[in-house]
Amino acid sequence: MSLLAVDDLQAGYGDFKALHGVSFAVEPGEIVCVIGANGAGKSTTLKSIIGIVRPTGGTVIFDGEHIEGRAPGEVVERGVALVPEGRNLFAGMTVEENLMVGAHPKRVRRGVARRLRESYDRFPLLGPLRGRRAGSLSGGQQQIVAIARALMSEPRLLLMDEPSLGLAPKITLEIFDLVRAINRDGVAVVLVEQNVVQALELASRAYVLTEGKTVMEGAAATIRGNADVKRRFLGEVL
Amino acid sequence: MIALQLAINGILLGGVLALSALGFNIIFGVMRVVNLAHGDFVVLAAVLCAYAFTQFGINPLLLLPVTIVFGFVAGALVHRFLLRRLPREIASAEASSLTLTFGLSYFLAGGGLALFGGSFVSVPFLTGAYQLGPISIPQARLLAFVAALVLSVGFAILLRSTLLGRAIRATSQHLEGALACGIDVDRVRTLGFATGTAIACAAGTLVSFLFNVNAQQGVLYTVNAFAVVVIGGLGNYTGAVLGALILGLTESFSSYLLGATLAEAAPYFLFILVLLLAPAGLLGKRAA
Ligand SMILES: Nc1ncnc2c1ncn2[C@@H]1O[C@H](COP(=O)(O)OP(=O)(O)OP(=O)(O)O)[C@@H](O)[C@H]1O
Ligand SMILES: [Mg+2]
Repeated sequence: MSLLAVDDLQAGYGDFKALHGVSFAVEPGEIVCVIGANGAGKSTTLKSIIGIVRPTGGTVIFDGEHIEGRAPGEVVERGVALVPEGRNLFAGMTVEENLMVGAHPKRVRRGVARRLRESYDRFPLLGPLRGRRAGSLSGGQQQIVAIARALMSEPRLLLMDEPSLGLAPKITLEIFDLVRAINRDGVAVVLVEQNVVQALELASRAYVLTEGKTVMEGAAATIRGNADVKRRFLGEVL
Repeated sequence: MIALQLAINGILLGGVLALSALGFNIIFGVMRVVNLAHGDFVVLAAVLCAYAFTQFGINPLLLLPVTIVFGFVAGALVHRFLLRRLPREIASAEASSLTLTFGLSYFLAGGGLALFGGSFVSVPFLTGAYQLGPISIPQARLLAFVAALVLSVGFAILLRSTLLGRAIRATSQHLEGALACGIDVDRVRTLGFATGTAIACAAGTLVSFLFNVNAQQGVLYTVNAFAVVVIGGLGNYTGAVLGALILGLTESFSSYLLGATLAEAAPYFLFILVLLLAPAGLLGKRAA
């Protein structure tokens, strides 16, 4: 059984419909990449899964249970976490406070001190920064805080929305290494990325979204070799 | 010497202004709404305390726990049964909640008038003054300052060190970030509105033995709180303390130099000045 199964998902903002039928699945422990042009609905898809945007149709099944239309609190409680596009840190709070808010779900409220220690072990860079205001950090540091904050809830599924956004190539590689390491610990990942080549190297399977619809799916290598994908997302002249 | 005296008066006044503004700021933070009924809760608590003092001789400080609980419950009910029921379309949410708090302000002012009448009341409590050479420090003002300080620090510690406090701050700083962390934002808003109202009522309790009050005066205290947070930067708690000192000093000096009537214009004056020169507030960051 898939860990996550999204079927014919529809959602929007007010009268505007952004998703017209997104379908994809994530197996336990795998990395799935979602690619699509600007405005294709990638972020809306992730927000609809976590419950920030309320879907107007379709189903989302996580670990065998329907979660579409549920509040983010419930979805996070069940083991889904989101690293939002643009990071969405609490800029005026310290790094440590940001991580503590990440441990808000009841399931992980106990033992926050231990989780903080584990977080500093995993991301050694954060230890010395724990007392700093999150807003005062560099982009790369902020991204790591956002990832660490999401991991505080000990998710089984991590939704990552453009974690390399605005980062230098070297930092982007470091972030991708982190994604790989997190996945190796058994966390399934949905990765939305503009760095399509690198993301497809990481992922086992990939989906392509166009105008709020899933239009293509396949093994990452197959998607990588697809002529249409090459032309549209990889800028390769054929 | 007179300048020093005025400065001390202003700083002592600033304590209560800062406390009141803290409540206003919390509500703005979690709701993104300017609570136009804020001052009405302040004066309602003040009038209640004045009433309790004149009728039953109850020391207003002893009523602090009562007014705080009253404010918390009243705020929670107002949010749960009124504000939360408003439509959620992004475009109209702020406008409709502004209108609602405006109506609530009239309701509270009218209710206060019906219950307690329209005359000014005061609490002749600690009317003496400490004499330090040429400087005199009114006991009531000093007490109000110390109490405001203790309460502000207390609430600030709660905001920093409790789960709810962190959730309130997280929701204020980044709504979608808070949602992504699984925070039940609706609940945080109810409790945040309740906390802000509780603080307004605590400030009102202190106001009861500082000034003559009547239930119609809420708007004055709303404007004071609004001015203080605008001076410091909306949502910025440290900035509000600075704003409160500035407003306290301005009111103290202007009422001496210009008379009490003109001094009532001080918050409006500062308000406009800050909006012209530093629209994001003295310690505020430009909104992202
Ligand atoms: N808060 C919002 N209110 C109204 N419309 C929105 C909102 N957020 C996104 N949209 C619209 O929904 C559509 C899908 O947006 P979405 O952010 O999901 O795309 P995306 O694939 O993540 O794009 P990008 O690559 O730019 O991040 C777009 O047309 C966008 O303009
Ligand atoms: Mg996006």
